Amino acid sequence: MTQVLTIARLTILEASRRKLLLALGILTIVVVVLTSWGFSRLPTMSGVTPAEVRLASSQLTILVAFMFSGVLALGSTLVAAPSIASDIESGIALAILPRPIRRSQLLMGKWLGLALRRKGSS
Amino acid sequence: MEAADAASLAVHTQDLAKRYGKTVALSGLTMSVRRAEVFGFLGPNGAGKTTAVKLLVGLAHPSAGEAWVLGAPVGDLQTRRRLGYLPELFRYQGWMKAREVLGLHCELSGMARSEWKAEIASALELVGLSERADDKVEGFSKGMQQRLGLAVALLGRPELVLLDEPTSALDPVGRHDVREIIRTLKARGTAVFLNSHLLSEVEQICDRLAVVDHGRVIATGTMAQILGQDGAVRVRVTGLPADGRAGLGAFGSLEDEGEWLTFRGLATDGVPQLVAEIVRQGGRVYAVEPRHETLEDRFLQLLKEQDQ
Repeated sequence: MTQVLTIARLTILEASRRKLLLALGILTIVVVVLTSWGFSRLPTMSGVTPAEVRLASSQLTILVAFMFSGVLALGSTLVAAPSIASDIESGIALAILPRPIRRSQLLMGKWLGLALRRKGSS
Repeated sequence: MEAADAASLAVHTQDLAKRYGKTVALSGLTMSVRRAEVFGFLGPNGAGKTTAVKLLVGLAHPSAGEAWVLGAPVGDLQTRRRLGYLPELFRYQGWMKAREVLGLHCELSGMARSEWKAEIASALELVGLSERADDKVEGFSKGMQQRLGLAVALLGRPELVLLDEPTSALDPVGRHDVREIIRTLKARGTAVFLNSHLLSEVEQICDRLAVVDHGRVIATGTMAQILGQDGAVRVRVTGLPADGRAGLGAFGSLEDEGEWLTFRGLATDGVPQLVAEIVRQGGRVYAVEPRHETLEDRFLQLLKEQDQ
């Protein structure tokens, strides 16, 4: 179990310093700002009644929530997918696997680390 | 061999083989490495050296045959604590400091946390990286990364250290340092398995060696056994008739260099008989000396014989 936690911690640290994550973070902020700006503009539009605004914003909220979860899922996939493959390709796995660690423990550690990291960013 | 016999050896393999699809990387490797000896594993590129090491540290599973490392079957998880391994092509997490990389490996090898600090300090000291311990690995040159790799392999006082081409990226100073490190390890009682194609290096530090080609051992033994196996002598002789020279070929393969004649493959009591024969034919013998072949000569010769 300690091996799994070690790998999980390593994975969190590693994922946190990926430039991809920084880019995703910045884009997320941009989208959040634009969305809230859009919502704030709704009542000021001419020719709509307050009831229509309420109806439209409730539907838009659902839409935006789906969009965010979609982006989050896509973002996690982009961060997680190359995690093991890149380790193998670069030779990092060569240095770690001869240690007393099972491949399943490495896999579990990677999964746990990425899952926790994703939780953190959402 | 029984497992009990294998326990007294650092490494023992019996007909170990590895195939990748149709490619045969290793075909029937049989060898033994004793405890506390420096064992050279020599061979041309593509002979299966790296594959053999990968099998021994459990990075790959053998297709056939058996192998024991420190008395346990290969791949045994607990035995890996007592192993040190320097891969041929490797990388460490560039964003970590050298000290952190070593810490990670202490943690993975299950070392008690209280021992880490002293262990890391002594490993860094041994490879000469103490001053760069708090620098990030991505700023390291290839040679320094190699030193760090060595430090990782030395953590936790392993009983067997497997080094895969440890000096390929090093300058002459670095190579000298690596030789010194290997000598230190040997003095500690650590067995060293040195995988290399640098003959001079092997010649200088190995107690015993195995020469591999096409995935199998073609010669094994001490340096003297490998070099002197064929009992070669050089004889300086004058006044020998030309047809007499041809007749001397019966003693062993003859290489005619004018005054100097080199004989290979002489029988144990072949030297006095050879000299007697030369004298009988009217030749005057000025010198008879055992021919000291360099490992390189011998190595090339072994490979040539293998191909025939």
